[in-house]
Amino acid sequence: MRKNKKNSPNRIVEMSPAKAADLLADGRYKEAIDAYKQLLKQQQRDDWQAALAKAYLLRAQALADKGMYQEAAVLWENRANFCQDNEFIEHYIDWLIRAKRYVKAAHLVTKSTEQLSPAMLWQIQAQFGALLVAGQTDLESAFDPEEPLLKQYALVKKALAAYCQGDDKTAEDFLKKIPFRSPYRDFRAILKALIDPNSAEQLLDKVPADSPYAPFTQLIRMTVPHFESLSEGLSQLTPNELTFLAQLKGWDKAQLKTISALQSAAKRNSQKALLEMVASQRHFLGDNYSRPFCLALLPSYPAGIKFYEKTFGSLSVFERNRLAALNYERQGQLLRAEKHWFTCFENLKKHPEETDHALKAALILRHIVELIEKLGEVFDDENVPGFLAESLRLAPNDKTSYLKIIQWNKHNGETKNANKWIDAAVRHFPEESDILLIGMEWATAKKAFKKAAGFAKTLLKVDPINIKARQIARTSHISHARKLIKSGKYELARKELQQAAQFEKTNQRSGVVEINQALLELQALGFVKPKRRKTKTSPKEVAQSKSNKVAKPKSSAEVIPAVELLREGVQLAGEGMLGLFQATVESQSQSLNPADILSFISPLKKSYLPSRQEVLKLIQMINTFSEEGNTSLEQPVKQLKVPLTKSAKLDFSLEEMLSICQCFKKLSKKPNDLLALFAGQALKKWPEHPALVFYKIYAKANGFFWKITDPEIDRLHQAAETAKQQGDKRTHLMILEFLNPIQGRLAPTPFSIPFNVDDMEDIEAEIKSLDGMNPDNMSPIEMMKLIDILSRLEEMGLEIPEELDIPIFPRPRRKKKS
Amino acid sequence: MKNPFDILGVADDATDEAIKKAYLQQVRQYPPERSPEQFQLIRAAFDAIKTQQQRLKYQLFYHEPPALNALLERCLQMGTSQQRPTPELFTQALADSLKF
Repeated sequence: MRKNKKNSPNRIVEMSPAKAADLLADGRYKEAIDAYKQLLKQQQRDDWQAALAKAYLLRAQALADKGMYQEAAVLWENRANFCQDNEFIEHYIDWLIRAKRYVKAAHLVTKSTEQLSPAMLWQIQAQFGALLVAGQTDLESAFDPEEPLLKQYALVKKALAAYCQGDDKTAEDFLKKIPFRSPYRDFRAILKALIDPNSAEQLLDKVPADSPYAPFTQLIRMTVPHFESLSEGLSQLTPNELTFLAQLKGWDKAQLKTISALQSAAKRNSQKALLEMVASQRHFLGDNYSRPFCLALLPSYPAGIKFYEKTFGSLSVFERNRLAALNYERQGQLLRAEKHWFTCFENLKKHPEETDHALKAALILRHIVELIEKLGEVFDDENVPGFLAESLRLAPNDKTSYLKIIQWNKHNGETKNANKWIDAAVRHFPEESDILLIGMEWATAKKAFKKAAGFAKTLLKVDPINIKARQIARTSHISHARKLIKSGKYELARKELQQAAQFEKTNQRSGVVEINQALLELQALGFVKPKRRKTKTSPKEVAQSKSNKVAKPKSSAEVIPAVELLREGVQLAGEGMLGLFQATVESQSQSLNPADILSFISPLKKSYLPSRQEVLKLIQMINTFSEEGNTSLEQPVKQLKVPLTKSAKLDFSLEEMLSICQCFKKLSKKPNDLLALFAGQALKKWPEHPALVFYKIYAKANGFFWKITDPEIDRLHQAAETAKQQGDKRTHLMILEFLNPIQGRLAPTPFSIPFNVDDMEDIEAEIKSLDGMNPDNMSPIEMMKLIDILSRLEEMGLEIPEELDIPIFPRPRRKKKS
Repeated sequence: MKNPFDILGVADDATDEAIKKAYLQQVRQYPPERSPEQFQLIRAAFDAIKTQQQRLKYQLFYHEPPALNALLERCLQMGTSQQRPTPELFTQALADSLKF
């Protein structure tokens, strides 16, 4: 259609230089060209000529950017004619090549060699080289036969011919003759990669991204084994490229057809399409591959089961249920999945003699347990131990199942079963560290020290540097030794202590063994005797205990070794209060009177002031003894009250003070002067620190919330709030638990609380003290006291007196087992 | 994603020894210091099927649908008779690939 000239802007608007310059600046190059042409008709000005030349060039570049290379070349020619020069000729040559005017470009290159930079010339020659190799033989006439481009092309042809005939040696010989800086350098790398596929990746990496051979290099990469994204690359190939690749890969027509069908299925992007496609190609792919492939699609596409069965035959009941279970798992419907898995298990049980049925059944049971774990109900589901036990019966060699069944039983307080499974696990996995560790800890908790020591020793054989095992072995031997000493089996006890000594490093002896050895010898010599238990106090026993005084040894020489051993142990435990503490605790553990033992040790000097390290070490010792189950630490600590009181002013850090206070809090609820002292001292340095505020008030109230004043309650609430804001959840909860004893008491415990007559008498007295009080008008303390009484009454299983029957917080429900 | 059998290039009924052999071969080809990602894939595949128990677990419980890519790549690697192209085919393929 002809343009309506009447609409041309040139005819309507008279052009001004400013307007022309604006058009050029705005990138409206075509209009700028027309504008400057118009201006130049009026007047030949150098600046307008330069502007026109620029407009031509920029328009040409803009067209080239759009892929309109022919048009770009024409505009360059217009510019060249106008300017009578060949500036920017490299662009022109490039556009000519891209416009497939190769011969013209080649002639131009030959004429314009001096105008081109060496790099640009090389790049253009590389392009011509690639064109020659790609069959543009008419280019040969554009160059002098002596040109390196043509001479090396002859080598390239021979190398290629040799390669295609399979004569790799000849091909390589010709390739070696191609100079390093040849325009055929990248072709050489490509042909070498084809000859030697093992080095292909390295060789192809040498072809730069701006090389004319770069796209061909990508094609060659597809021939390398395990090339990623092969399938994606295939869809972008031309038929010639695909045929080329197919020959190199050894693909036949049937294969290419299958590939094409697969690519079509990929475009449809559905499981249905894939299933049908693979089924249709199964003769090519083979049944051995197609069948499992299609089967693997069914959990995500259960609607395909009918099609599958029509193609490959009926599925078994087991398989149908397995697919259903997997489908439900994919949907997150774990209970339904569990049901189908159980059907699978039942199915396998019917034919246990078949290969792998037992193992499969075991795996399914374990898988069911995993599903229950995912539901978060594993400890509430009473089927779990049964499933795991049965799975172990079918296939015993599974450590995880043992660990799970032990954990389940421990969690649910099934002590006997836990013990049974720990023993079974250790028998089956006698050298597994985690099993032995559980055995060790369990035996220690049950005070089966000999057993614990046995586990520890086995673990140390497997893992000689296991610190925990070493510690437990030592402790277990010592604990067992104590038992033997109490039974008067001194010789056996000596052996136990000798064994305990083996688990201490020579340069890190704690003194515990030496002290216990000393106590043993003192008892063996009859120098000291254990105290009788208070609970059994027949008159005869009372009379006997009165005669339980320290007896003089037959000769002092007999006792010296024992005393020296005791002193050695005390020294190893640490000078000062540490040794004293250790000796006191060990004496108590053997039911000896500490005073008798301490009489052999130099007492602490009045001026003795423990160091910061000693205090911290003492705290560590107390905590260790607590962890070992020792509950009689209050008295030994009380004996150190004087030096500890002095040490309260030492320069402890905040963390150290908190650790000390925590330790003293755990020791006792009764007048806890040390806790009060340390907390008070710490508060001077860290006023209103929530945990320290709590410890101070707690100590003052001896741990009873009803003994605190209203201001103290307020202060504690404030401290709790501060702790919460500081992210100190532990302190926050600790304070709340203290302030709200109901929450602490309403959670039912698995053990029945024995009824204590003393408690009842206390409560009756307290109930009486509430006479005359108006429940609607009680102070916070009175209210809390009342609530505490009611809680204790409920715990004891007693009826709440009518006058006290007020609503209290409901008990939290325990999750029911299915 | 490819299944472990495909990654190691072994049949579904391969034995422990065959799988281990295939694994070691793959590791020699893709050692961790040179091909860390590929090595991870190979290692994960080996761990998934190295024993009879692991294989049964995989076959019973794995339910991710196989990817088309895996099938395609298997199909693509099924070449039997690799050939050298003719010079004409070579030049045609090169000509098609040139972007100018």
